[in-house]
Formats: sequence, structure tokens, C-alpha cells
Amino acid sequence: MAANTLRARECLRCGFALPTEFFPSVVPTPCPKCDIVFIARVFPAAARALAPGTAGETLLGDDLSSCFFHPTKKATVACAQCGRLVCSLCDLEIDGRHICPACLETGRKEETIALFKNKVKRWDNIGLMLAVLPSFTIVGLYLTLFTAPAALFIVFWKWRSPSERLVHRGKARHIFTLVIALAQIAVWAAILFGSLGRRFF
Amino acid sequence: METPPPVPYRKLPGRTPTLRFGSVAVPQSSLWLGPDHLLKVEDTPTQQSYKRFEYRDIQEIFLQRTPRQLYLTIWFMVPVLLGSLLVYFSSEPGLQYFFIGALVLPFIGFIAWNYIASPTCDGYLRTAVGLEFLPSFSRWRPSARAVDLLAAEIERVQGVVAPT
Repeated sequence: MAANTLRARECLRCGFALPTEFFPSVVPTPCPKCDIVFIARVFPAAARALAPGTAGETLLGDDLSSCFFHPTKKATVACAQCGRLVCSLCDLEIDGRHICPACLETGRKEETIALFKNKVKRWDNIGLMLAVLPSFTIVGLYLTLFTAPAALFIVFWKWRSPSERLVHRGKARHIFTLVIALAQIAVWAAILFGSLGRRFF
Repeated sequence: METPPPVPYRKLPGRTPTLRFGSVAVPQSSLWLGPDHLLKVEDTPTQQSYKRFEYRDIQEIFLQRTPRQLYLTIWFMVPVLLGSLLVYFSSEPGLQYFFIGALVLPFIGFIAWNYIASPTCDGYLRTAVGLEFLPSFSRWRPSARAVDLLAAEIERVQGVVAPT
């Protein structure tokens, strides 16, 4: 069944078409041509043909609703986002919700659909870099007068908000930033108050 | 927008090699097992980006050995040889210790680590859309372990290919 329809795969190094008996190779197997050792785990999806798309059904009577994007096609579902009626061609199922192409595009651009949110800022890292990097140079040490409060601001700004990151969601970097930035501010406070104290007392 | 509850992810073994050329600019990549998909995470200092591969769509995982381990050894041998020559030709004992400590010993350590860390490899994942390079599959042993864990998840969803 599935294995009978598996296509021959090529060695990714030399391009030699490996016969189907090489798949799935669970144990390391050498390529007959270039001798490079490989493991190839093949799954039933490799033999599965892509499901054909469905063309919208033609609208036959006036009593039926038509697709918003194809007025001659019969509407089959309402978009879960905007409520427009769409035909089976325009119906896109994302996370179990039926969405029209326009909302899909908007969701992709504005990242309102969670599945399309594929980039997040690493504010904890940015804060940490602001706190740590200036300390490595003499000029940077003076910059800590500004970067330490900025790093502290990032920590307080992002501390309560839930992390948008999918992995590495801990607060270790925030804590580290907090300690370094507070230490830098304490040093600056000691310098400033020390010099003021010498001047006035 | 309401924040969805966090998806429990489990990290797969393997990490992007730090000694790959240009790796300072190349994002660090890692793979995470989700409940119904594999998550490829790419980390730069300021941003984290994601690619999801549904278990039901993965057709093949391909892992092949590469000669990178040998090339790395050759590169590490250069400072060892250079340091050895400098030690041989320098007359000052202090300078000899410096060359041994700064060039010879650290790079002998790198060569040893390079062999302990198992052979190098490249990993790929194939879907109906195309072939995806997996930078975190860089050493054979952890990558093979990761492939086993990933294959178990995929087979849980798709079943097993019948033997020919």
C-alpha cells in the first residue's frame, strides 16, 4: 500500500537515485555510490497524494446565497472572522476555523491569527544587552548612566506581560538584567551623591 | 487580542554548530516537539522566529554524515603546528610556555572535543512543499536520538510505512 507507492529518493550528497528498498532506513546505511552514511526515516505522508482542491459549486437558483468573491458560485460557509459568505474554493480552514482569503491575508500581515505569528522580539535579551554590553568599554561605562535606566525600564515594562515567545519563556534574563542595572545605578548614585556631598558638606 | 495558552514544547537534542563559518550572523536554531507539530526556532540576539511542521505533513527525515569533522580537525591543526614551530624556534622558556598555553594546548583540546562530540552530519526534513534544512542536526549522536524521538511522534500521528 503506502510503501508500494513510495517514490525513489536521491542521495542528498551525490544525487544517486536510491531504490525504494533503502527506505525507511532506521539504521545508518551507506549510499551505494558515494558511500556517505545516512538515515532516512520515511513516513506514510510520502506516499499520500495531495488532496485535490474543490472548485466552487455553480449557483443554480436565486434562493441560494452566492460567494462574496465569486458571485456565480454557491456559498457554503460564512467566514469566522468577517462573516462574509464564501464558496468551497474560498473556504480556508485554519485551526478549525473557516476563514476567507481576505481575512487570511489580513491575519498574516497584521499577525492577528496566532498561527501566523512567527516572529517575536526578545525584549529580555535586548534589556540584558543594554545592561551588559556598555560595560565592556571605557566610553560604554559612561553610557551606563543612560543604558541602565533604559534596561530597567524594559524589565518593568515586560515583567508582567505574558511572554509572547513559544519557548524559553522564563524570566532569568530579566532578573539578571535587573541585578546588573540596579548595581550600575547604585554605583552612579554613589558617585553623584559622593561628589555632591564633597561639594556641599 | 487574547493571548492563547502556552503550548507545552519539549526540546529535541542538538544545537547549531558555533564553529560553522559565518555562524556569528547565522541564527542559532533548535527543534521543539509540540503536541501536533514540530517547531523550528531560530534565535538572533533581538528576535526569535518560528516555523511549524505538522506531524501529519512530514514525509521524510534525512540525516547524513558530512566530512566537516575532518575539515575542523585540519583547521585546528594549523595553530597547533604553528604553536609547535614557535615553541621549537623560541629560546626564551617563558615564551615557550606562552605559545604552549595560548596556541598548542587549547587547540589540542578543540581537536579532542571535536572527536568526542561524535561525527558531523546534516539533517533535512521533507514535506510536500519542499526540503527544510535543520541546522541543529549537526552531530550524529544527538541528531540520531532526536530523529528517533521525532519519528515516534510522527508515527503516532501517521502510522508506520509498511515494509516492502
